Amino acid sequence: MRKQEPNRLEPVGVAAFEQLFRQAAPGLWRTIFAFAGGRAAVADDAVAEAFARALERVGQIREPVPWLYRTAFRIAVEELRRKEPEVEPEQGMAAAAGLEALIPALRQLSPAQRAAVVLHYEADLPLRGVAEHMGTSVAAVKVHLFRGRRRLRELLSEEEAGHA
Amino acid sequence: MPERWQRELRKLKNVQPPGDLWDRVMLGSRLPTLAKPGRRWPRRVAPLAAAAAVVAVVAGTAAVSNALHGPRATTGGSPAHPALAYVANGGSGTVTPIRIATNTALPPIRTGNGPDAIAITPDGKTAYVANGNSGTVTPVDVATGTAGRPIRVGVAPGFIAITPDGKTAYVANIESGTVTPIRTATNTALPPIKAGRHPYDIAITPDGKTAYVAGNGAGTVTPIRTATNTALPPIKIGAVGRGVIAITPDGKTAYVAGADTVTPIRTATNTALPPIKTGNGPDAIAITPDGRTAYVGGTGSGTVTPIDIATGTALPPIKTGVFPDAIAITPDGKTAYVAISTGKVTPIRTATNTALTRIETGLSPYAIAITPDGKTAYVTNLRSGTVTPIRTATNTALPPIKTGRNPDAIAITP
Repeated sequence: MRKQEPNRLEPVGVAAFEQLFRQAAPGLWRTIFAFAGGRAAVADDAVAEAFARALERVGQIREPVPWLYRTAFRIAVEELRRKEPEVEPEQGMAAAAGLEALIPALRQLSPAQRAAVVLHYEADLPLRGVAEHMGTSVAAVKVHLFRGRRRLRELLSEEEAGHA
Repeated sequence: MPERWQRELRKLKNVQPPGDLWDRVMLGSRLPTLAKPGRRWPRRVAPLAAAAAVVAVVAGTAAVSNALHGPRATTGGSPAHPALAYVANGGSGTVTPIRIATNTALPPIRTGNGPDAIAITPDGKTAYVANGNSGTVTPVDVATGTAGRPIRVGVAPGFIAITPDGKTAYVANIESGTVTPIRTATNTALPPIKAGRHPYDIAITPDGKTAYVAGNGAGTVTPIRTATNTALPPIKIGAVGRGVIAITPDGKTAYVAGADTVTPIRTATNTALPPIKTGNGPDAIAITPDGRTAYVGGTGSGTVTPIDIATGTALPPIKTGVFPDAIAITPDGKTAYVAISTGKVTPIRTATNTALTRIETGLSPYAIAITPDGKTAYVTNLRSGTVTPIRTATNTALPPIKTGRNPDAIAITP
């Protein structure tokens, strides 16, 4: 059923959707990758599924980017809940990208802290934007950021941190 | 120059989604559970519901308060000061008083933007509410439920502790790197005291002489002499400082959580003892009223580690469930309640250090406070906008009480 849907879309809808994918998918995938503590398979599933659902609703979603994030977060939460023990982060991929310090540190944050920190500091979203993308309040984001940043600082501190 | 964690975060740009992602979108869902309408999400699952629980500012208060004052003799409340729980609604800019006798919410009281912390004076007369987004503290008259004029403090006030004599409230300004003392008699702010880079948690000794300020970014704990409101030399602790601290009821030792350790500080000399290894990412700590055991929530490991205070050794960790972020102990010391992020609270029997059956609360349980008579534990559910009372005698949840949005802190009248 879903596979036939692209054919029913107006050409302009598909083009706009493709453009949306090109613009939003890499950032969304990186965010979910970090959110899932470096589990690329979870990011693959969540991002593909979120876009697939968006495709079903082309033209109906007013703010597609925050919608995609909220949807992908939700799917990733469920995927992690189902698979957590068996899905291990891909060490080789993290090492190849120079993330061998970041990924273990991120995994010490709660998922909400990871999401808030990545959206705010990596994707450069303002607090309100982070809240919209996470489907939560600015007040909650603030708490996640304080704690997430505090923990990351502690885990990824400079050698001379104690003297600062 | 950006700090190391910021530089590390930027490396995320090095990873790319797989080349076949577009094809997978076009193929549609391949996730088996997602393909079954109506079975997609369990009843309680909402966006980030499982993820949103983090350490509760005032769970710390309750825990520290228990540690500081020990079991309080009164059953709470009198005709002049009815027993109330005050809940800060981070997303609504209000506090909701809850009448403990009936478990009913009273009308919300407007405070300021993003109330993130709350503390009540030992005489039960005034609740101080830190408005994280406004940089103010609002005093609320508990008897009448009226808010006073907001008191300007620093940037992002995130924690409040009140001295046992009730004369001074200390407010940690997370982003200013300061602590603002408030004279409660006049509700005026005194000059801010420099206290580390990001002061987060404050614990005051039972004699009220010293406030210990823990925070992040400097690897230190700053003692403040309350008589003069001056900072003493910072105490270097092994791990880079975390933001949670608790003091034993005898006032002799402060425990500060580190990266995967807890560092005891001898308060007589303000010296750090060797750190004790616990679970990863300790973000909550509570000490039993008899001063024998400290319970440390290891957020990263899903465990709570009891520490035998007499010997300074960690006992085997107790599995509680993912992200044990808030801990409160009953005044009789028999049960520790641990909020975990999956919408549950895990009770721990302290006599045997065993986890009991988990109690369902609401979405993202966040802060816990226990009544002075020990009969009820109140748990704020951040994403549900409710508070769940738990009857401690039976460990059963009572019906949730509606609060404002994002209830993130709770305090109970003495």
